[in-house]
Amino acid sequence: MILKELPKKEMQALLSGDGLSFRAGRFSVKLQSNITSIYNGVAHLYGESEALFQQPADFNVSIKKSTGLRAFIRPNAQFLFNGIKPFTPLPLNQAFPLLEWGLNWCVTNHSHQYLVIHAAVVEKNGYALILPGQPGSGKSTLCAALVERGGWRLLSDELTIITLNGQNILANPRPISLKNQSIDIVKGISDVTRFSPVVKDTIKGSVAHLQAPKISLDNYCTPASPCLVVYPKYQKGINSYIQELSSGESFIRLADHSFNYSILGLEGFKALSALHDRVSCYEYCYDGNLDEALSLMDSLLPS
Amino acid sequence: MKSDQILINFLKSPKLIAQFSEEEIGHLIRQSYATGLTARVYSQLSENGLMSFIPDNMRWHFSSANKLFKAHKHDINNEIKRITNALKFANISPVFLKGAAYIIADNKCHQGRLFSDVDIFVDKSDLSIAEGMLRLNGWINNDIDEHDEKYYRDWMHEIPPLINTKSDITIDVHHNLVPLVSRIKLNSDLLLDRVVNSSSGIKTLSPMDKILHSSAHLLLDGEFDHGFRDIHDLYLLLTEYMLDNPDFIDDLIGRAEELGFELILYYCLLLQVEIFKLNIPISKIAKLKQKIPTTIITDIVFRMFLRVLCPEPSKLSSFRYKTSLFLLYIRSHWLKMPMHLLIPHLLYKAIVTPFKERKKIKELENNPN
Amino acid sequence: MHFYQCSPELVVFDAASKETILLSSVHAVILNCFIGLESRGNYSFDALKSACLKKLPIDDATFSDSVDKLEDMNLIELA
Repeated sequence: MILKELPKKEMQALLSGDGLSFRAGRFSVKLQSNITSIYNGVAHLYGESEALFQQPADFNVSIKKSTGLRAFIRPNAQFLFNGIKPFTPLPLNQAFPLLEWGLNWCVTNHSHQYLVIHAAVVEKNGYALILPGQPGSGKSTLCAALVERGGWRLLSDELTIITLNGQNILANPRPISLKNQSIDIVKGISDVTRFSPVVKDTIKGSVAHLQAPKISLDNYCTPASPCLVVYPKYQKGINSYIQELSSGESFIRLADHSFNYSILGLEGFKALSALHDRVSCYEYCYDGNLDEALSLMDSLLPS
Repeated sequence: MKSDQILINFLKSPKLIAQFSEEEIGHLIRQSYATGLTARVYSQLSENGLMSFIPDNMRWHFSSANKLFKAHKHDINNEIKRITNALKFANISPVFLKGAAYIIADNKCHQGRLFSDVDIFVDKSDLSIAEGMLRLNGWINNDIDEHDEKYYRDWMHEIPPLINTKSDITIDVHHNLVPLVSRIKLNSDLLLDRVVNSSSGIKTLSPMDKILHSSAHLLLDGEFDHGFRDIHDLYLLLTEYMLDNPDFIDDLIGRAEELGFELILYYCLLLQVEIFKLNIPISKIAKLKQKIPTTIITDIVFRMFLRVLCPEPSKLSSFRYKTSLFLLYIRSHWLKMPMHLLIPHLLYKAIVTPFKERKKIKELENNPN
Repeated sequence: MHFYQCSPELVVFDAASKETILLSSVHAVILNCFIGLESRGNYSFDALKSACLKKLPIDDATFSDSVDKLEDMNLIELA
């Protein structure tokens, strides 16, 4: 059963009671919340996700309206993980982005059975294309375009999960997070009904989420083979170019982009070594022409 | 088995895992995360050959936490070396306290224990040189505001915490071993008489004094974020030393009397009996009780400690939990500060601090490491 | 120390400090030559220089700087 098949009253009762369990990426989550926008956000953006029953969840989280003196100053949403508050509360209207950031935190802080890298990753013909990038690099827009227009499967828009033998990229498909100008660009190339409302004035600017394509959710158990690492850098008006990057240089960059490389130590070093035995690495400076970007990425795939 | 007893029962007797249902293992995982003891549960499962009782798809919670712990232990050991070397040039030999001390002494309770601060003690006369040497070697001020800096320096007579930017570990330099409590007389200086040297020449408190010191902090600091972990650390320390020395409890009570720590030890032992059913004859605790002025307040405070040390996360939102937490927080400050400083400090913390807090959301995006 | 060969460069991981460093092709060649000479008990600066120049043209200044860096990192030790 998927969440959109659950009757509305039952879903609301679970959320405000013992918790609603569902698949989020490759993990199971049990969520409690007394906030309306969370109910709406989950019902909409996780509508195609598997509803789960009768089994302990990987992550037990809640998003609650914060109480006490602070609530009188401004109504807030607080994220909790098994009763722990990893972040300060945010304004109530940012509750859904807070949930998404919180779920990312759950994965990056607890999944040391993998090497987890801050990068988008997509798959075609069994080959994985990893797109590491700082905020502003354009990786989210590119990732969304590859998935919505380019026929690639979404593995993740933020968290690239690599097995420690460096041989597989595991899928963790969740709503794609988009910011500022990226929102309108991607709305122009996809079905706008799959978008959350835009939340303004967050620490990252305006934020919206795009429901992950059903095919990526259905295939979350299917891994991909590491093949390409492309470092995108968006620059308006530039003459786009792509150039090869040495494995050594890419190694250091990916280590820097990793959430848990320093925790894994030698295991992380070995994982990145094995990964770099398998991938070709590139730097891609592009001007935002998505059609050009899509055919370029296709051309990099092995024939 | 009552679900809020699951972690406690496991820690008392790890072999019980063989009888846990999948749902109960789910509760074990939740409570482990809530108390920060996931890696400790791993070490209990692993040492006792019990990992096979955890379903395949749930084992990663524990093994992943263990990796975090091992990396953390490695970093702390490096930090201990760095601190020792930095202070050596000024002929200062600090006494390491709490978590770092457990690692140095290889106490059982160091297993699976995560902590973010290294606590050291130096003589008051060495305090500014120590601060100078640490700054010279790369430690800087942690991100605190003026009020808190004043609280540290002028009232608590401490240096604010310093952070090593390379390792992200904070160091707390103390010249008082226990919180300065104006309303209870504690002879904490005597703790220094029995300092021991590890095989690598690094100083920690003696076994008994480690217990009394950690108990004092747990019961006087007024913060219980890691309360259950701390009370379990004490359980492991007590059982470790009781195994070696059948008269340990008597010796410990004697030592507590020397230092004026009777009330602290009383609470600690009573909590151990109540929570972990530690085998301490009630007659010994009764004898200890006779030496302290207990009132109905003592019983109420004990009940509040029990409530805030509960490992079940769903209890944390209950009214009774929040009230107990609040009252114990006030109590700890009341013990330390005269009223004319207490009220402004509490008001500042309640009202001004929320406006100044900026935390981790930005870090998630910008600084993955 | 652990190494990842990604010619012409070399990635080095120091397990004690957990530092990961990228060495250029020059450093990689010097390190490889040093390992070869070390196995024959030869730790002389001149022998190392001569062995390296056979593999890669390196000017004196670059060679000295690179040797210093590798010595600082405790990857080589010359007589």
